Amino acid sequence: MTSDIRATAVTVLATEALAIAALWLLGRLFSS
Amino acid sequence: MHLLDWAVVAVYLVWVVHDGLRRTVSSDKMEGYFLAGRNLPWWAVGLSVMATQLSAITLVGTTGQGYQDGLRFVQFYFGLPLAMIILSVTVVPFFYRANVYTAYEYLEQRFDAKTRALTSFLFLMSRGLACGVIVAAPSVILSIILDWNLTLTVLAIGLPTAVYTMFGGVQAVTWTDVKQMGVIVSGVTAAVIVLVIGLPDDVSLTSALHIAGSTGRLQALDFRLDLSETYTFWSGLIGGLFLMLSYFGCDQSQVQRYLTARSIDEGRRSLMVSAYVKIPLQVLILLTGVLVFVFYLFARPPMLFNPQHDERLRTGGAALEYAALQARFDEAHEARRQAAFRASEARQGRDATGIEASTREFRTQDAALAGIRREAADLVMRASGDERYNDVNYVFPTFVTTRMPIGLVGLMIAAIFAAAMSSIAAELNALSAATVIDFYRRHVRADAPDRHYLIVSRLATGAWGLVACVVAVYATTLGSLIEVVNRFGSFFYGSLLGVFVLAIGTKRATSLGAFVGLLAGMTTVAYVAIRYPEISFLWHNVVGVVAVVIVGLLISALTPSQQPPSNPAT
Repeated sequence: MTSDIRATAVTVLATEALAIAALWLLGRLFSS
Repeated sequence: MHLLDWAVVAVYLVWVVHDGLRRTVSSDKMEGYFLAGRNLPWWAVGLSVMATQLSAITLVGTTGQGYQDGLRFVQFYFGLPLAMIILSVTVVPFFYRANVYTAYEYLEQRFDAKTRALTSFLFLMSRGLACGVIVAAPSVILSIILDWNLTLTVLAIGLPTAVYTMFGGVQAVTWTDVKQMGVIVSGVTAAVIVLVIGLPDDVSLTSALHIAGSTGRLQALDFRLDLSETYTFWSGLIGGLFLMLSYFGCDQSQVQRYLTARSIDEGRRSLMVSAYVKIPLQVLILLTGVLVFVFYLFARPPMLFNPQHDERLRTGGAALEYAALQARFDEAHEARRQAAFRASEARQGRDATGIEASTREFRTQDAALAGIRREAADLVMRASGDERYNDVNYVFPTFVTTRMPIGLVGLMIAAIFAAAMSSIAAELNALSAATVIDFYRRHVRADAPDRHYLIVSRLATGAWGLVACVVAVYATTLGSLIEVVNRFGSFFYGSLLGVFVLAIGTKRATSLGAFVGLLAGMTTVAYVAIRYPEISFLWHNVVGVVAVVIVGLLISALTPSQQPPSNPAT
């Protein structure tokens, strides 16, 4: 795997983790 | 529908067909027709990949799911970004360098003709039927909601798509997909704006979301490891990963998209568009459904969203029972509306005790209303004998046609058409490619001039378009539309992925191992689906891959080794 692809993979996974965290937060904030 | 809305739909249809047909000049060779001369930019291919996956079933069914269940369905896509990374490292360079038209063509290079023929045949059967479902789903809904003739609606969606795909080939598919994505996103955005503006003056968007949240609709994540629960974090991440690997890596309708990119790097980048955008887009569509739920807290919703059943019960033998139910429903709706207002007031007044009490009261009223809707659904099932009755797919189209302003109704109907047509066009082009490349050129006529294959390819596209329309007309009784297509794919997708894992991932796998493994994988999935119906269909993909790889490697170990061809990716 080239460093370019590795960097893209890390960015994609970090973005997904952020999206999942945002969804978790949305649920926490609005579900009470 | 108002004349202006008709005009918007007509303008959309003329625009798309014209745009597709003008690509005919650059599709005068086989490579141009199926692969666009491998010269398309990554962003166009990326949007086309997304448009192909986003069918009208997704648009209409997902908003309905948002209305009914909230954001949970988004978990289905959690495996997608990881799948895109894996595919961009493995199959994209592999297929690109193998210089193939279809994914299955490579399987003959690696294994043998019968493995190629079986996988391509499975693709043709499953996608040919799925294409019919993709046409049928919006046609059934629109014909019922707008009182259109079903056959004419099927033809209005299917024929223009078949015509521009037949002549313009993959260039037409890709460039119309780009525009269709624009129409879809514009339509959904317009719906969100109308929904937010439509909230009562004294209810803020934040308090409306709090009310929706109190019913659990904004709880997107479910971390339970429960195999019977269709959409959980784990089924989406693991089962979804395998489904997406199969769909984007082994399904010709997607493989053909990134084979049209200018280079391996551009093919990879095109997949990254989905990796970044798919989850936010699905959240937007699901949130639209949640906002429709919020909208109908304050505006009177129909008891049944399918107007055909409503009409039949109103005038049929159970009319008295239905009228009594309707009266209770109206009363319960009013009680829920008042409770929602009180919850909103308490929220805006930051009154902690009031918030707790009013939220509790709202939940009670919401449950009571949902109970009456269930009774109405039971009545439909008894009266019609349709035990799978579910009006979730009618929620959004009902909102669009009865509550959106003139002009925007046309835009939203055009968006539903666009979602259907973008998926159908890609399927037709891929079905034609598999028919001509994997069967006609391989088994019927191997040495004809390019012009001959181009004509046959166009005829095959038209023929598959006709098959889709015929299947659509007969596929009138559909359950949950999203699941019909996904379940259908899951039956063989995992097994297909298993064959590609054997082909690309191991040197030891033999053609007999791959062929028997494929059959064993599909048999295992069928057994699991029948014997353990409670297991969510997303896990079938995992079962299929594991079964094919284990059986394939075992058979390969017991048979004489076979020299694999030189790896084109190396």
